[in-house]
Amino acid sequence: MWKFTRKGQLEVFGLVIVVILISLGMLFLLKFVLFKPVGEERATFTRGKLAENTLGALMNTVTTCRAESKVTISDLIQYCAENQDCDGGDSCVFLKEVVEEILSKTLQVWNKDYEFRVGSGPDKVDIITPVVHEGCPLDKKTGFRYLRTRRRELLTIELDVCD
Amino acid sequence: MKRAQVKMGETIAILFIFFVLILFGLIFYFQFQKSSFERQKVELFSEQSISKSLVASFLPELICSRNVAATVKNCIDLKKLEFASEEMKDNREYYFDIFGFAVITVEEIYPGNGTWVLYNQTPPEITREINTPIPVSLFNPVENTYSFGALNVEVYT
Amino acid sequence: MKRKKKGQLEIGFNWIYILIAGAVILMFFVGIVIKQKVVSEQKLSAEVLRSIEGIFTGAGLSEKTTGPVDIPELTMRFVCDDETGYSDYSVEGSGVRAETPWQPIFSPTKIKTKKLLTWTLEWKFPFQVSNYLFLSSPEIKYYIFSDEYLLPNLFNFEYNVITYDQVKYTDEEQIRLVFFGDLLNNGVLPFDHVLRDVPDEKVTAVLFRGEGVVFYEKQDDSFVQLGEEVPLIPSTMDENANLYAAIFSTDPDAYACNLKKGLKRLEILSKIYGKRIKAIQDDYFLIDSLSACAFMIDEDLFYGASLSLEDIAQRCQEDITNCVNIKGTADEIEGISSNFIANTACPVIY
Repeated sequence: MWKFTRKGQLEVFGLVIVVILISLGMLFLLKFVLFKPVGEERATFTRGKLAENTLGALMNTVTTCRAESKVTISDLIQYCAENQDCDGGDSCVFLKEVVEEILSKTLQVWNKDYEFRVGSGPDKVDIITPVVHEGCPLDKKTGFRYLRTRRRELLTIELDVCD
Repeated sequence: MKRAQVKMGETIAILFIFFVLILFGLIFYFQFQKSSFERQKVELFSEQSISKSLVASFLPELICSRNVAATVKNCIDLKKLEFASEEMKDNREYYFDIFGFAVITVEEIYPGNGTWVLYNQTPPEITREINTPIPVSLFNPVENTYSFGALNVEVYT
Repeated sequence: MKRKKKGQLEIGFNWIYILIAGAVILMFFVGIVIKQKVVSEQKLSAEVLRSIEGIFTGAGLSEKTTGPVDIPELTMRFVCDDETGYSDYSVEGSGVRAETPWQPIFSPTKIKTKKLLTWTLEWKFPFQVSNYLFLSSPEIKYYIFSDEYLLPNLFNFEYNVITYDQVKYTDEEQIRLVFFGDLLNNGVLPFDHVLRDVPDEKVTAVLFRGEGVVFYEKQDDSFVQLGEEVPLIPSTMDENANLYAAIFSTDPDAYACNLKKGLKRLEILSKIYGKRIKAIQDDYFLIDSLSACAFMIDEDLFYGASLSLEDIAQRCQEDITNCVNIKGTADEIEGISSNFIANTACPVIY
């Protein structure tokens, strides 16, 4: 009689353990399935395109550097590298102001961090202080453009964009 | 007799546990399907918003004329823009087939500050929305200059 | 004795109960598996359509691009109803479909393949109107009875075909013959030609005759006209996208239906370009009334031409047979534009 009672209890106990283990396993699986991040492909796509498109549109934009001629940002960068002025004003200061204004009204409003740099020569020595909003130390996408000054110096224009 | 009853009880308990396990399995499976379905809906919506943004940025109704001397990417002709917004309002059903529930606007950021609403169809109830801003060059064909603008495509569901 | 017989009966009944219960449980699980199979197939079809939709959108935006698209082996159906304007594509048998209300897609009605071939070509008339998307597969062979109209190398075709002897059949999914001027041998296949034994639905033909296109289907040993002749809308480019569209489309209704999508775009763009040029000239006049750009073109002439183009595009949409003499107006606009392109200080017309 004793043996039969013990055996039955052991069996039930075993079943209970199996049920508990399976329930715990299912809960863990549910957690990983439910909390998987979604929509990452869109974030990467838009960040990559954003850097490229912003820089492209920026370079063609006409500025009010000189009243009598149409000076684009691309021209302004060359003026800055060649120490030419903007109707008496410092072209490098003007360049930084314009780029800051545009990027603050666009990338910053769209909750993006960025860094805009213009470097000269193979070592990319900065010709203006980089225009930065929080910066992009890690995961970022970069847009590039290249220009040459009249002295055939290579200018590298870079825009990093990150979330 | 008692032994038989105990055995019967044991069998019933086993069957009960078995069905409880099956029930757990079914609940888990349906929850998994449901969350998978929800995730797919979000992914699909995300893809559609990218699609619609690309279509908007390449609309022949807006893009600059292609000139062999100067090919500017992501360029919108300001003169076309003025009349495109009228045409898109007059052909609402046609553009609804392209964009669905969305709001498409063009903003001039620098040096000016104009705004043009090209397309505006919002659903009665908004479940989700995604805004995809695209920096563009706004070309003025009279002055032959480019300004900095943004094409905003807000897609709703 | 009675007890023994009762025991024998009980054992028998026990086995019957076991069999029935076992069968019920087995059927339950088999039912679940079958249901899951159907759901999985639908899911696969939906996934395929979803990825294809993205590819079609991208392809439709890039010009003059070709490319293969790998898909699971299935049969895709393309529908465009000329009467209602409804169009979609779907995986045959799945019930899953994606609508294409505005994008012109020219393809055979059915494509069974593991690899879709895509080609995008723009239709200019005279300005860029729309990007057409052409679809085919390596299992569809084209025999072109001309040396002028070639397809991109991606496609499975032979050109400069002169006689039916050059037309072979090596178990392709579809064969399409493209004639210019007239049907060879009045559309009758030579005696004991291999195509006579090929199922009718696998062989189609198209004839470009003057300013019209005629579609044919094979019936036993000859080609029989399918539907009415459709006007061949010209293009102002050397490569006429509408001609290639007729090569890829096997159904005249679907062809006309997809053409109308392009015509709708033409109607809207004609209006925009007409108003644009008027506005530009008005602005130039305000800035400097003596500016050459203020008189760069006869704006009434251009505006009039663009209105005619808009009008013709509208009438073509109502009935495709109204699309005759459409080229004259497009040529007029192109002429106005090329006459003043010499003055590079003024903006281009389109």
